[in-house]
Amino acid sequence: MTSISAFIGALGRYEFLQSALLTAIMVGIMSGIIGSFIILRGMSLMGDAISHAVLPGVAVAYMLGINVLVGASVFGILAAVLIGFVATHSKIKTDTSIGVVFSAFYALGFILISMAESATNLHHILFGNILAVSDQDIMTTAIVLGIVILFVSFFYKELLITSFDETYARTYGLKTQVLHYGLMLVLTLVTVSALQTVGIILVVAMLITPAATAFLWTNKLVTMLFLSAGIGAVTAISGLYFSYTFNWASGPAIVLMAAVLFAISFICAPKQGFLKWRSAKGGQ
Amino acid sequence: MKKILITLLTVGGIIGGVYGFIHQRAQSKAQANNQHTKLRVVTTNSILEDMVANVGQERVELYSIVKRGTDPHEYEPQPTDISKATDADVLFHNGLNLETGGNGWFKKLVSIAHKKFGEDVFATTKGIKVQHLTTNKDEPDPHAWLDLANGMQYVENITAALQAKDPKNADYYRRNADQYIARLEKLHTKAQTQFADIPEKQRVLVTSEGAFKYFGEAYGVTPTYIWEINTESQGTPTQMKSVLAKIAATDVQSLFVETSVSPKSMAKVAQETGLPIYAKIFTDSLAQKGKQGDTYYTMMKWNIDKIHAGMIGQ
Repeated sequence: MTSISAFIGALGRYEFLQSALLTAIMVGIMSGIIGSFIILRGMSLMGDAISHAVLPGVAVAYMLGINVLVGASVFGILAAVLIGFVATHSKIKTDTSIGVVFSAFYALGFILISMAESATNLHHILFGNILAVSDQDIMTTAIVLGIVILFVSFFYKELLITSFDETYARTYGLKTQVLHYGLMLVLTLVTVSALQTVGIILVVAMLITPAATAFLWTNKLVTMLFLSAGIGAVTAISGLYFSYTFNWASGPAIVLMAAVLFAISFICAPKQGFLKWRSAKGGQ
Repeated sequence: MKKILITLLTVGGIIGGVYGFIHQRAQSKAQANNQHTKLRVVTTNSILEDMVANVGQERVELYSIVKRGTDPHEYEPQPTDISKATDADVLFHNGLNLETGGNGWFKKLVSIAHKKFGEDVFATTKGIKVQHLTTNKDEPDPHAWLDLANGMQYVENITAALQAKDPKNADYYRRNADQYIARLEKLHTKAQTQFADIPEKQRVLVTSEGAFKYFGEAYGVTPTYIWEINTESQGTPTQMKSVLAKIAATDVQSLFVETSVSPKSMAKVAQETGLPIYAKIFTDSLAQKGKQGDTYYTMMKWNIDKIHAGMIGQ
């Protein structure tokens, strides 16, 4: 208990901790929301692919002297489009297409970085540290969060239908492709802003784990969205608390908390949890 | 329509709220409370930590960021590091790109902690004759402390900064510094002549990393290495060939490996040349507390004694 009050006291004293908490909560909420659609559409690894595919964008942005976020987003979208194009225009399935495209982009990124000759190692942009976010990063994250909320609430019905029955949505006259790329654009923005907070390896965890946890508890999309966003925020707060109290690296602490919540839900969730599943099986 | 309005208001509220929070925070810059009696000092590594401990003794509160045995070139600050740096009255770093090269973690740390270089962040290498890497002339070699004369300059820089930040203890710091420097001086003078009894072709120091440029110049030893800095690719075929050729051209008696480097590559050299690896010597970090070489003085003494004995080949 004393450590909790120590954490709250430190929050009042240290600016870096305030910034970290604010950013972590925002990243938790937005990746919870977008993550829900990602897992419902069976594109869990898309986040991983995009987080790697932005590397050449980082190098190009550095060479041209423009905002890293812009360069990264352009290449993220490019990768998403290319993955979709290869998958729809050949007999190759999406997972394979993801593997081909993102590794190629990643490799290109390495070569461009060695050509960029930056004094500080550009690879480190991929291993962001949430304790080091600047005021500008916080503003960017807030704006991306705003875009996520606007996108989801404006296209809620369309996203709902395409996520569950794409064929039906198409016959219904919805522009599923446009919606798909819109979602990819938002996913890229979320991924890039999460890169500088939790880092490349953990972006996937923030996108998938809270949404997967929420999915275990409910079948209703709107409930799932709110639950997933809430879990993302709780994960961020508790992860940062453990990180500060035990001096753990912050990104991993947040991800570990997400996994703990998932594990609890996996066992206890009334609808689709492990216990329920076992008793249903035993009852047959 | 109502739904859209609510959504827009929410989003506007979030962005406006965050913006307002950041601005209000930047304006009401609440200064850190200075009710602390002891001067709070943060150093980047254990060598600087030990020097400050000798000068400040029990009148400073010390914290060292990179733990003993960890590579200071690349590091990711943890929560405690940042909160200690935020609270610190003075921060010391080696400079010469030791902490600011690579991912530049120290620069980031200083800006998060709202400190300023030259005001409360000081490089201990100020005023030192800088040597540069042979592979990249623009890059300074950071390992200046391996020459005791430079080490004494470090202590001078540390003392000056402590005195400026804590004037009422100025005399106390000066006295401690003088005593400490006298000890280092003695070791330094002895070491300068110590290697004279070894023939020049035998006075070659073979290590994994090329960290001994300053050491070599100070004590008349020719440093030879497999790779020049820890962050490069290590133990490539070209590097191996070149070090083997250099060894063949001299009368080297034994090889050395650093405590903070994997001994694999040096074991390979030992196998090729049939020379023994004589001892582990210290470069980037002191030994764990309580072990041989856990202070700057004992680390340097250990290095000098082991290198000397190894060169003779006993």
